[in-house]
Amino acid sequence: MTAKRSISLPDDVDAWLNQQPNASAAITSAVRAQMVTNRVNEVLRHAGIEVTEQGKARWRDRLAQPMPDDVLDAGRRLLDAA
Amino acid sequence: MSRDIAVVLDDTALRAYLAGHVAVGELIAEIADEDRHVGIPAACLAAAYAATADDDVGTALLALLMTTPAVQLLPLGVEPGADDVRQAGILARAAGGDIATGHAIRSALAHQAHYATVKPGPATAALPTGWSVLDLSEM
Repeated sequence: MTAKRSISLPDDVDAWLNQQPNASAAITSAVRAQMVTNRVNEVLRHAGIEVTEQGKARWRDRLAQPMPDDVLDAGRRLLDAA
Repeated sequence: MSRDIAVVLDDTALRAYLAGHVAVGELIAEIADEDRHVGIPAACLAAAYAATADDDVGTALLALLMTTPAVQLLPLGVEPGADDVRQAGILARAAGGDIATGHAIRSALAHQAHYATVKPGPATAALPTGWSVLDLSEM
């Protein structure tokens, strides 16, 4: 099911959407991402956790560091041997 | 492996979430922002539930966490011949014999994911040298 609605957008967002092959899909993707973020933050608040941008940025940097290929290979061998 | 599991949380990480540990929350939130997923091994979830005896709020918080779109339960015993069960058990040997830790190690290896914990010793001993173990107690 889909619905049609008329919305107003800032010029820069409108310009970006004009460059997308499917504006509806681009908007849906962005809104769904925001829905996930909101839901995660809501769950974490129930646990007494207030997330900060600074805290997330620390993890972003850490997660961006890929594991070396030789370590991943060692992991595959360990799993195969188990 | 249809979904991108960035990080596996072990049972100590789940207990940190229950205790309101900010670092584990920020890790989950960052992974959600990246449109990736946090993997929670079934044995770790069971261990965390066991640790919430007489704590109805803790039990509810675990159930709530599992409804989060960025979180995925990693089952045990679903592979032909129960290969995943054998691997979890064997890997647990090097991690002090704890089955939940064994399942978390097995999950991290299978998904090539970071291993998140507040007690890095057992996983570090069992995983290959250089494997990414995120020590939540340091953040």
